[in-house]
Formats: sequence, structure tokens, C-alpha cells
Amino acid sequence: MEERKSFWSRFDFKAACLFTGYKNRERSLFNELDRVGIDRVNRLWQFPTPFDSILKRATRGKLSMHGGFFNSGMGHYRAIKTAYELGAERSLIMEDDIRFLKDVDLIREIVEDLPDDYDIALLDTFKAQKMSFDEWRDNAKNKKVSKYWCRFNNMRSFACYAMSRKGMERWIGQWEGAFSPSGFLRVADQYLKYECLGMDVNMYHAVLNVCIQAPVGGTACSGQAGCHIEKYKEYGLDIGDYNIV
Amino acid sequence: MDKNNEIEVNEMEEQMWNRFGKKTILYFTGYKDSRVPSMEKELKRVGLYDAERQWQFPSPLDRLLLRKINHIPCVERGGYFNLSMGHYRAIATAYHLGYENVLVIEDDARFLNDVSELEKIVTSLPDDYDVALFDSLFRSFKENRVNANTMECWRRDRKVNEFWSEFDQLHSMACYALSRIGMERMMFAFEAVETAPKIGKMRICDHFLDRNILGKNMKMYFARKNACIQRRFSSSTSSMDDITSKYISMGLNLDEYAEA
Repeated sequence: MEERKSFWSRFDFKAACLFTGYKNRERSLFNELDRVGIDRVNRLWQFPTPFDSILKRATRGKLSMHGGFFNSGMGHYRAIKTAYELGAERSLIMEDDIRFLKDVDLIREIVEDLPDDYDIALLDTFKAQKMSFDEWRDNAKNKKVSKYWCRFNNMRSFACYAMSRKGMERWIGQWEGAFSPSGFLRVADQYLKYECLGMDVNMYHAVLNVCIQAPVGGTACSGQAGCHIEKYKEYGLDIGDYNIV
Repeated sequence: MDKNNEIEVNEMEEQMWNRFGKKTILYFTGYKDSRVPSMEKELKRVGLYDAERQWQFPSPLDRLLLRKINHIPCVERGGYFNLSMGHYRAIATAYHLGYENVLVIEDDARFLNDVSELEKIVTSLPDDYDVALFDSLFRSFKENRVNANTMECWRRDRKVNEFWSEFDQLHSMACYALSRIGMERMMFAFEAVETAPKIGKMRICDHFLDRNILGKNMKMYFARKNACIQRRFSSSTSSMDDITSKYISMGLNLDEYAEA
């Protein structure tokens, strides 16, 4: 077990975004984290409040119409901002419905292969809507920075990601800026592009997803959890490789 | 960020807190170096190490909220809004997770050195409480008639058992427990700024500890002898001097409590 924990120690702040509406996910998530050796994870609970409507009214953008996206985005904001304010250099943030590869040795290989210069690293990812599958495959093939990681612009999924201090600062700037008169509020993972975060940000995603969003009860905040599985299959992932019971 | 492993967790003492379904330690990112290390030791000493840590931070979104809601002027000062929102989050989280009761502890609370005395206070809390203050203070506003003498009268005349008395209006949310109804009433008081904007006003969280706000039928108890006090830290605001002098005027011997 100690060996398993060691390769996650490159992240000095770990947090789970938990949603009170899906409280049944907490236990199974932490069982899963225990299996792959991720410990010392901060539990950050998120729930909708009447104050949200005050904030939403102050923004432009489509998020005001979708309460779940707003709540999810605020959950990620809390996680990233907490890490940043605590002085973390490398944070790892996880949503409550993720399940990792069954093969922990392979997870270790992928995590250890992540280049040190990353600012944002997606351990789970899927393409933005405008991107074709061919473009996505080309990206994974032609923009490799190491055996298991490739550079990206405009990818989606905030299910499990790592951020450097610079990455945190840039994302927080976007989120908080969205509440200013000139800001535009987006779904949290729609800021994962150079146009938002800056051309000097190193954004990598795992060529083979380290984890996926699994149907673990209820609807995922970011859409129908069952639909994610179909989407992953389209990407050519073998769902059997992941720890989905 | 990692838990301090130098002190043994006092498992024996953990049992006295088991009556509380959810236990939350309210930490502030701004005090991560000044308060957290010694608080972690304190939590181990008194058996609260298994409590969940909740981090609160100042945010530009708070300023935006403050511009849009009714609030009493002092909420704007000295991080009071951040403090209040931290308590709101702690209470609302427990409520939304369906807990029957919650225990919330601030990062500067320090308990009685004598853990057996502490245990007597905790275990003797009547089951029918809605609000229970393990630390309490009288208010300092001129219009307020609650002072050290009033507290003494409540201790004497509104005693519910050897360790607890009933109150109408007190201060301090350094360590408190709420029943489910208590959580609901406190949340409503906070949320009224949006749900009932004509009557709702955001206050410093302690100001909600008032029978006129929470309801006449609430069972509101305070420990006749404080189970803990708020200690002054180098990061504390100047009002801590005021708080310390209040403890003394209440007749507390501060040497009986753990150091900062």
C-alpha cells in the first residue's frame, strides 16, 4: 500500500468534489481512492444555496440556466481556490463518480510519466464538441510529450485533473472574472483552452484515460452518467479495463 | 495540509463526542500557519481528530454578494462575512447530508485542560437541545442588556442540570452543537437575505443566537462553565482583547484552558 501511495505524493493537495445531492457516492469513491492508494484527500462538499441566484444574476453566460453546472463549477472553484490559498504547488482534484483503471501498476506508470512542466493535466478527458474523432486521435498521436501524455487545446472533462500553481491561478482568474461586468460564465471545463488560460500554459491529457466517469448512482452533474460510458466506448476505451462494478 | 502525526490520538476521549453525527472543524486558509498546527494537536488531545476539516477562504464573490444583500454594517469588516459564510456552509452541509445534529468548532477554540471535566459537560448535555454553546459570551452592544450579570442569573435561575442552563441571547460560535431543527432555523436566518429580502439581514453569525430570531420554542442551552474558550493568536483581531476581558468578567480562570 505504501508503494501505491508514493506515486501520488507528487500532488501536495488532494481534494474530492462531493455533492450533497449524491451523498451515496462518497463511500464508494473513497473505497476506490483507497484501492489505488490516494490518501489524505480533503472532502469538499457542495450544495445549491439561495445565494447562488444572487451570483448567477450578476453574470452573463448560459450557466445561469443550468443549476447543476453552476453548482458543479462552484464546487471546482472551491477546490482549486482552497488549494491555491493553502499554498499548494500541485493539486489533484477529483469528482465523486470517477473509477480508475483496474491495473494499479499501469496507473503508476502513467502518473509517473506526467511531465513536470504541466500546468493542467487531465487524467480523464474527452473531446470538445466541435472536434471530430479524427482530430482527437491525431492530437493524441501527434502532440505527444511523453509515452502516455499529449498536449491539448480545448479538451473537456473536469472529472480528475492536476494543476500547477500557475494553472490554478489562471483558472481561478477566469472563474472569478466571469462575475465581473465584462466576464462570461462557462461550464467549468470550458475554460480549458489557450484563449482562456493563455498560450504559455502547458495543458496535457492522458492518452489512455487513467480514470473515467462511471454510472455510480444518480445523474452526473455534467450530464447523464450512462451516456459517458457510450462516449468512452466511441473513443475506443475498453470499459472492462476500469474498476466499474 | 497533512495531519500532524506527532501526538497520539486520544481514542478514549473520542467516545464522548460520538453523540454528534457530524463534527466539523472550521479552518480559514489565512490562518493555516498560525492556528492549524496547534489546533490539530488540540483535536488529538480531546478526541476530535476524526472530525471533518472544512476550509474557508476570502473570495471576490463574497464582495459581490455583499453588494447585493441586506446586511448589518459590521459584517463587512474584519472578515466577518467570510466567518459567517464558513459557519453557514458547515451547518448547511450537515443539514443537506441528513444528519440529526452537528458539532462545529472554530480553529481558535481551546478546551479545558482537564479532559474528565470536559467529558462531564459534553455527556450531560440534555438530549432535547436545539442549540448548545460549549463556549459562550455575553454581547457588548449598548442596546443589549445581556451582560455578565444576566448570564449569572441564567446560570442560577434557568438551570437545566448541573452543567447546562438555558439562554435567550448569547455570543460565540467557537464551539456549538445544533439539532436538525437548530440547523434549519440557523440556515433560514442566513438564507433570509435572499428568500425573504424584506425582513432578512445578514449578520455576524453569532448574532443569530437569539431566541427572537431562531424561535421562541427553541431549546437553547449554554455550558454553565465554558467547555472551551477562544484563544488569542498573533493573527487575531483586536476584538480578541475584548473577548478575553469578557471571559475574565464572567469569572473564568483562563489557566484552566489549553494554550493557543
